[in-house]
Amino acid sequence: MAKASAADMPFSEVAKAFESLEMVSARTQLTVILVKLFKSTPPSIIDKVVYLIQGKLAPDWKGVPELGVGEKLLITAIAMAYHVPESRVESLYKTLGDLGSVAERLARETEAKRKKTAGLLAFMGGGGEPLTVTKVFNTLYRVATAQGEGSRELKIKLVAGLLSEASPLEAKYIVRFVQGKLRLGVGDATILDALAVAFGGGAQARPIIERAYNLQADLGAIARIVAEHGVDALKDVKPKVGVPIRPMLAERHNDPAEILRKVGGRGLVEYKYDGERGQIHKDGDRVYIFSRRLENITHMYPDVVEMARRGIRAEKAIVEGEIVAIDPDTLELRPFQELMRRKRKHQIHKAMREVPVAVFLFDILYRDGEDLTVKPLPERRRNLEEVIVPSETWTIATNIVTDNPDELVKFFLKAIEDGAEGVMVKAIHEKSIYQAGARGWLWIKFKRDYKSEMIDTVDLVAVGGFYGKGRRGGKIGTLLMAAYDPETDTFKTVCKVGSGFTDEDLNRMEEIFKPYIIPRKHPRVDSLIEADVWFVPAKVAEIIGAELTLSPMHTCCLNAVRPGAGISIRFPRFIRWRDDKRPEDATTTKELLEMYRRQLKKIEEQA
Amino acid sequence: MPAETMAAKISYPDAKAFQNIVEALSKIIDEVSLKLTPEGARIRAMDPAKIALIDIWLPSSAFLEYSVEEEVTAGFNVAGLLKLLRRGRRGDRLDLEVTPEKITVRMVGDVVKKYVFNNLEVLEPEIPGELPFTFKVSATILADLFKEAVKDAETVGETMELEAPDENTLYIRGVGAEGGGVEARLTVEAGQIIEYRVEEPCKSRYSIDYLKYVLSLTKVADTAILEFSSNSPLRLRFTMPSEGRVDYLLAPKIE
Repeated sequence: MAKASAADMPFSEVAKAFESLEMVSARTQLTVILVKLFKSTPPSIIDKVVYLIQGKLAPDWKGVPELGVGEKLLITAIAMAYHVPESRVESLYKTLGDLGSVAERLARETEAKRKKTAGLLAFMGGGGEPLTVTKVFNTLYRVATAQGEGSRELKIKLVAGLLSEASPLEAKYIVRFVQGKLRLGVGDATILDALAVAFGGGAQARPIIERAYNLQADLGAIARIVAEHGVDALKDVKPKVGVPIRPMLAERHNDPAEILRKVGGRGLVEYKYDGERGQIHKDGDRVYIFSRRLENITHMYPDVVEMARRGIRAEKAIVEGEIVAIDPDTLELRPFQELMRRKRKHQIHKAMREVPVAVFLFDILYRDGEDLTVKPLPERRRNLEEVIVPSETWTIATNIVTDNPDELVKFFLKAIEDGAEGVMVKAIHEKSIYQAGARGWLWIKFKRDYKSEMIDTVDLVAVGGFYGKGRRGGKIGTLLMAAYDPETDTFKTVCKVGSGFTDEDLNRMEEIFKPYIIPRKHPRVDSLIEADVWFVPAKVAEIIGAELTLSPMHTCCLNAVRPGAGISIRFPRFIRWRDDKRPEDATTTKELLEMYRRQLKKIEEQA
Repeated sequence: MPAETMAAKISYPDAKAFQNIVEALSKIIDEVSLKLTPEGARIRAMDPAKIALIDIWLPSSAFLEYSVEEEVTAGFNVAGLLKLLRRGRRGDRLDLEVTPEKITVRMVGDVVKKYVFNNLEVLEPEIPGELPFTFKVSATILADLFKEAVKDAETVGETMELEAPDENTLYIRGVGAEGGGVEARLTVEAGQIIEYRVEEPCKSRYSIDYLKYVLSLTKVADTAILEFSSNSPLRLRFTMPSEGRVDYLLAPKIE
């Protein structure tokens, strides 16, 4: 930890500014107070001041532990600092409603009653020096990083020690900070405003500072650069491996023609996978992964770290991709909920086996010294393709380039059926730069408005098969399933199912289908998909899925709901064989259409 | 970077005794610096709440081997050191080798266990060297007697009261929350107080939690000297048979 530097500032300056901030609410007024504070802060400690205003000790992605001082411990610390029983603190808390005010009150009483603080220093003739920003910050840092045996007591004592040296006003804000209840009403945007005025001469400097912040999401570090070296120093800020870039965000629209018009007529359309967006930084052998909210999630994905080490042909690079849970046998996408099983710190290697993932890459922002965020998308894409060494689980997101709304819709439906949540349409004109930290119309989300949840199982007929990948290489691992259409007496395809089979099911697959394998598609089967092997329609299986969905790939109810689309099942799973049923007893296409319509509901957009 | 500095080497005869000292330290602070000078080894640490100060002094004569040519500081994590000291056995010897970068600890018994730590940079506590006040009462009692008195007091509450009403008597009381209490009466004539000096009648209160922190020192010291005045800090001095002492200064509880 840093030692107290020569340039420091009394913490009381910060506490006074906090008090002023609390009394106003207009952003312009908040800015004025911050400007004054920033100007009186020695540049070498302005990062600490910025973090304190943000109520943190470092940007979240740095992974500095939480302070870990809950209300109970804080009450103990206050009681210890002011030598009062905890019951007194608790009753004051009930009256005043805020522990910060309790500490302020008790500090004032102590001040009035006795010479100084309650601790030893009062008797030692020492102390009495005002708290400095560095001392407060470093002590809070120690509180956060105290771990293991005795750390609880240490945290309490550190806070108590700090309070015993603090003035009433300082005590109030130290306690609120520890409690995570600073609530100054100051957002990042206001801090940027104030930095522009304090060190850039006014609002004209704001875009430069903001851009730097978007490229290096560490407001304290940016503040320190601008305070120490001026705005010009920020002009050449580039992304830095290990420091997250604030992600570019997309607008949303649901009219395909309008979407294409907005991106300039022609766009790159790619699957929008239902997983976790990851910003993957590679620096030699070191890999960092940051979430969309810029948290460091590297520990959750040791497998992705390994993929990035092998799969990025550059010494230093920052790429973006979607991390998605997959079925390792079929490489099919799994729902988002599966991925969330990784959200735990313990036994990550177990979770890694249970929930394997694939990464679908869609952008590159930095490559060996070059800032690619300022390059148009096609150029970034070229760089991405050059850098990525693909594997089964590390590939570029499925995509097309189109200017045709119908083609867009078809691709969209296929994306949904494959388990994606929609598509992203991205501008590919010369101004299609990477707008870090901004939401705009260069990228447009196209998601479903409606979905039809699947409540009941259906019985479908196996009409074809596909050879598996990975563990199931060379064996039939996925089946093409069809519904029965009594009107034409044909079997129309609904979905490919590769999940839900036990190892035993899979081992017996060849044996089961051997009698039914035929050299070409059966005349009663209506399919757009080419299977690896074709079967006589004979075996019926019970299938469940997450939803019924429209698909351009399947013939069941083709054109019934939407031209060019049939009905399919999303995330289908095999339940069991229905040897009691003949193929003509399978669920009919008409029944599937009714099921689809009955459950069709508007999707409530979640934040 | 430092040129060829000779590593400071010291060897303490009783690793377990050292462990007891570190046990007490561990209750008070997370990181400390051990300062080695040609005269001896010293640790001064103030607890983060600034209620207690511990000052440990082991003169060079307390060691089997003591080769320190110039002052060197060993900064270490107390919990980490304690963990390995607990692995030691009775009769083990403790060897310490300190360079500006590394601290090497060896526990030498039937087997030699060696541990290497980074020498941490630990901030020196901001403590005035000399005490700006004197004590009106000084009582030397058996360390065990003190331990018993603290444990008795603990049964009723969080506060211990010391009272010296005259030149013969010392009361050690546990003060309960609802007026309850427990009292031990020690006198010179009964032999419980070995040496007693009372300049004026005094009474003062202290936190039992903080007194408990140093009870492990009663295992290494024969006697404890209690020094205090009314509503003033208490100094507990534990003198070790093998030379050396631990001073523990504790702020009073004034309510």
